[in-house]
Amino acid sequence: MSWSKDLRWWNPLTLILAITSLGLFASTAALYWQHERSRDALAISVRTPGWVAYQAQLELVQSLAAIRIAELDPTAEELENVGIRLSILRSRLPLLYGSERGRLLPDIQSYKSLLQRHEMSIDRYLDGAAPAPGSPEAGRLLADLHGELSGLAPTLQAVLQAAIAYNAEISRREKLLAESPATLPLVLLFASGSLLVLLLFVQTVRDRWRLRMTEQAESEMAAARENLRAVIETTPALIVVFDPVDLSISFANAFALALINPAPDNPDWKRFLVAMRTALTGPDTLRGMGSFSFQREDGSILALRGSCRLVVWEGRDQGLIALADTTQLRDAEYQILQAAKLSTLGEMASAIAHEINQPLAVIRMAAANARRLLANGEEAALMAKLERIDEQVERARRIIDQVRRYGRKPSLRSESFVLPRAIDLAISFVAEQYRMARIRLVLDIDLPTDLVVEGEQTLFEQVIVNLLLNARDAFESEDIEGERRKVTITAATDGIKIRISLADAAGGIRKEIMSDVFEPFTTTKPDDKGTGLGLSLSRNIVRKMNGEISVENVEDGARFVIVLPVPVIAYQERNVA
Amino acid sequence: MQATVKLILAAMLFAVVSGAAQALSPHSNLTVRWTSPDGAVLAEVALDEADMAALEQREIRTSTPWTEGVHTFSGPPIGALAALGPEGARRATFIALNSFLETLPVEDWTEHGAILAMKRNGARMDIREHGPYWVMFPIDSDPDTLNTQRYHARMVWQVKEVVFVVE
Repeated sequence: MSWSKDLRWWNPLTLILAITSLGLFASTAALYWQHERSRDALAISVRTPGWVAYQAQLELVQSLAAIRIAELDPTAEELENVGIRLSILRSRLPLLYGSERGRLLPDIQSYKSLLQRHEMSIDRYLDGAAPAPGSPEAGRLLADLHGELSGLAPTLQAVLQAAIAYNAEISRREKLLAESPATLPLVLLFASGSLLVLLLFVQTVRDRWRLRMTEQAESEMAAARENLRAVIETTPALIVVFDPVDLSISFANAFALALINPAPDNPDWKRFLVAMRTALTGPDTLRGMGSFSFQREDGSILALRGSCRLVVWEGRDQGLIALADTTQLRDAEYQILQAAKLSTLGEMASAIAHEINQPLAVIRMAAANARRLLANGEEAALMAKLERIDEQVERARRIIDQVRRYGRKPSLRSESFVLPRAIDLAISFVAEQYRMARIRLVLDIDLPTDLVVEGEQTLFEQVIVNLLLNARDAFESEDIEGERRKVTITAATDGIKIRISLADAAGGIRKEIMSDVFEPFTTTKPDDKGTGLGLSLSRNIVRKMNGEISVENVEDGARFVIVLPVPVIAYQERNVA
Repeated sequence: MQATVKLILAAMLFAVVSGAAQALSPHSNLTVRWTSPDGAVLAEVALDEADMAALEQREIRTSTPWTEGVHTFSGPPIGALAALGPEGARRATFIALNSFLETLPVEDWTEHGAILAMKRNGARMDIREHGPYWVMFPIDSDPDTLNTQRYHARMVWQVKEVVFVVE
């Protein structure tokens, strides 16, 4: 899904969001810091080092003046004044380099030693070198002091000028600061703010677009679902979803409802499902394919062919059945079968006639003899003749019965029949013809006598008869004589499959038509003899019985093999019984 | 000969004493005056060291912009000084030796606890050490208010005179 890509952590949009948030924080912090700094700047005294230097200069001037006065008139009072002035001056000097503000001056440390030297000389004077009032050294001492302190004046002046320059620089910077208060932080703030707004806008647009896409996809899906539903509803095939747990119908398309029963809860549906499972899947799985018949309420019988498989429907495992209604096809097939049968019958008409003629001839002879014997009064021999007539009538009846059986339309129900008996019946039907054609029929039937298979008996008989007649026709056309004129029928079972094979030595099937042999309208017989439908119909019949028919060339001829499944239920029922 | 030596020694001693006495000069005397708002003098006293020491003393332990590290300043609270004269002093002007002056409102000693410090770490401050008297605020106990330019300006040192204006 494309969603997961967009939700990945380091997608560019998230990155930008993170950066702008950080930018906002940073700019807010910067603004605050700047505000604090301006506050501090305001708090910084106007009394910068210049002020201290200026005050020191004042005191120096005052001290020098006091010294001059004392020089001229060294009274106690004047000398005391000198002391006071010097003390005040002395108290100022350390402030130049020692105080916070003093230290603001960049070069102040270079003046420090100079200033400290003067401090020491002042201390020396105050701590003991001061002259006594009226003493003769007073004047000299004071003059020396004056000279000494004068050296302080240029130092103080230099400091003062440095301070003034520093002040000017500071005030210039402060002015700049005042003029451009917080450009960078404000710009940053504005930028991050607008970026955030932009991001939100872009995100909204994208979300709306995505929503539209989703809605579109959903409506497309809904439309597709509708289409699918329409397709399923209009498909001319039976589509049913059923719950295997309780054999209830979860969904049936219109075709299915029309075919089986319009009410999904009708018991017919359960019957239908049971029949389907029996034929297609078995009780344990939901997967299978094949064909089966189903009798409706009104008695009509449907032929259905298709498959069943597992499907997830409404969150559960359910079964999906798709079946084609092959009833009409089956009916048509049967009609063709019937037509083929009748045509076969037609072919066999002369043979049938010949067969019936025989007992009839015998009856006639016997009747003629009976009349003679009656006329002669030989009653005992008469009885034998009458019995003879009776037997032959029975024989004729049997022949006619067989023909009738053969001509009968097949039952449409899926039935079970005893296989060996069906094979026997089929063989007996052509036995006379084989005798007339001098073809030996070798039987190797190794099946349980009560082996039951599913299917329609007469149809199966038809298949065997068809194969036998084909073999006879092959012998006829190939003009084969002697030992080779034989057809071998073998039948055996391993409990799971039944294998019936019919082998002849009539030359085999030509390579060119080998692959098409079971296709309709493939025939090697001349037009008036073969319809070309026999083998294709036979295959259909065998397949309806869930079996397979195949052919291969062997030795001097062909071998047809029919494989049928042994129905499990049949055996179970028998075992229980 | 012995008398001359004695005389010279005495003179030297006198010089030393007077020299030393110069350091502790009468400018340790504090003149305190009470006036009315229009300047009329209501009272005046001159306090010497002993008088000052006799007053109630208070200690402030703080750093200042002009000293290194934390020191203990002690001296009489300004209120104690004001109490020596008429009641109702609303402001006080402190005048320094170099004629610098600054006026403090009454709140500065009633609320902010200003004192007139005489000693630093137990020793008298001489002029070089910003003595003899220094208006001291307890900066470290309220730096947000007191460690500002406004209050730094009020911490007058080398005080020689106090004028209380009584209303």
